[in-house]
Amino acid sequence: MTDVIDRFHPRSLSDKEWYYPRSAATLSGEQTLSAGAIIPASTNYYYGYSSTAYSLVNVSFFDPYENISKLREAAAALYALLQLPEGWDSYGAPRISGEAVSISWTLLRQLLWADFPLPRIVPTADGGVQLEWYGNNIDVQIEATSSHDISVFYRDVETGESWEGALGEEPRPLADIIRRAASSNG
Amino acid sequence: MTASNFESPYTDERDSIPEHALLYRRIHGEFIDWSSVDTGGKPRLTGQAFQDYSLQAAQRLGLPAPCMSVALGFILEGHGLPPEKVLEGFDDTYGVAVLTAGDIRSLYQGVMAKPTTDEPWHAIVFSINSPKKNKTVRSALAEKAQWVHVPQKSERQS
Repeated sequence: MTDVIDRFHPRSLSDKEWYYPRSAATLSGEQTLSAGAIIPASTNYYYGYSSTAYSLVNVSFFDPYENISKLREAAAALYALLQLPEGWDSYGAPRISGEAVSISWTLLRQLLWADFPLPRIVPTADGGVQLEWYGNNIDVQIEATSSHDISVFYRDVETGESWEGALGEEPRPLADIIRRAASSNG
Repeated sequence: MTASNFESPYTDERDSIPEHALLYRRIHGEFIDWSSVDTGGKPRLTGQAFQDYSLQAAQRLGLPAPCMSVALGFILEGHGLPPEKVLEGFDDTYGVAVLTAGDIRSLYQGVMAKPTTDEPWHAIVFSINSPKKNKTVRSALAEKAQWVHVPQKSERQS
């Protein structure tokens, strides 16, 4: 099972610690986020030290400056969502929950370190957070409401194909769909 | 509860709200994809703009099940008011979009008048065959909706 590098005792990685992260982010409760569901299997990864316990780093695409810049942007967007007051949507929406932001941050760290484009980061009327990519007539959404409720929706406007369900149960690799949607955004 | 045995507590008022009736929906700027524009140069509405009330919000309003609020165009018109009336009291980062009753019914949604003292044009749109709108329905509503009033971008969205 996964070893998490203690952030208070950072050290070099041994060869044994290089591996493919099929279960990279374990959440409390019933649901386990499978990074393999999001990140293509054809690349190599290692766990690196970070201030929040651990990060997945895609060494094939790793560009520290670009990725850190995207992470900062994502963090700022999440922080802004936490500032929204109750009723922000004019229809009585609750404040955005810290749990939804925390889960979204975990997802975003994995996605952005793996060089996925920064999604739109938007609040939901249930107090959750949604990550969205739209392009090439493809709509992809990952919505985090709580650790037990992370859903995915995608739709290809041209073919009419659509799917909606829990993260990790997608019938097609989510990474491919996100990359197709995001490829028009540069 | 599955879709097959779901019974909505609301009634689709087909007789009093005809297919061509206009339904106006106030839209928060967070629900707009400013990076995509339609052929008319207007930003893309996202499915988030057509979410049902959260459970807590619905309960606070005394609504027995999830639904979303709209304004009935013919009642607004009867009062001599424009669609922008629904923006009264809100800043310029809110806009207005319009759907027809026919649009929403084609997606297994119903519409029922729910007038309030302040808003006699108030109505609700609800799912007929499931407890609440799923993302497929919300996205389809966003595609069918037309802009009436495009809001200004907020500082965060700029």
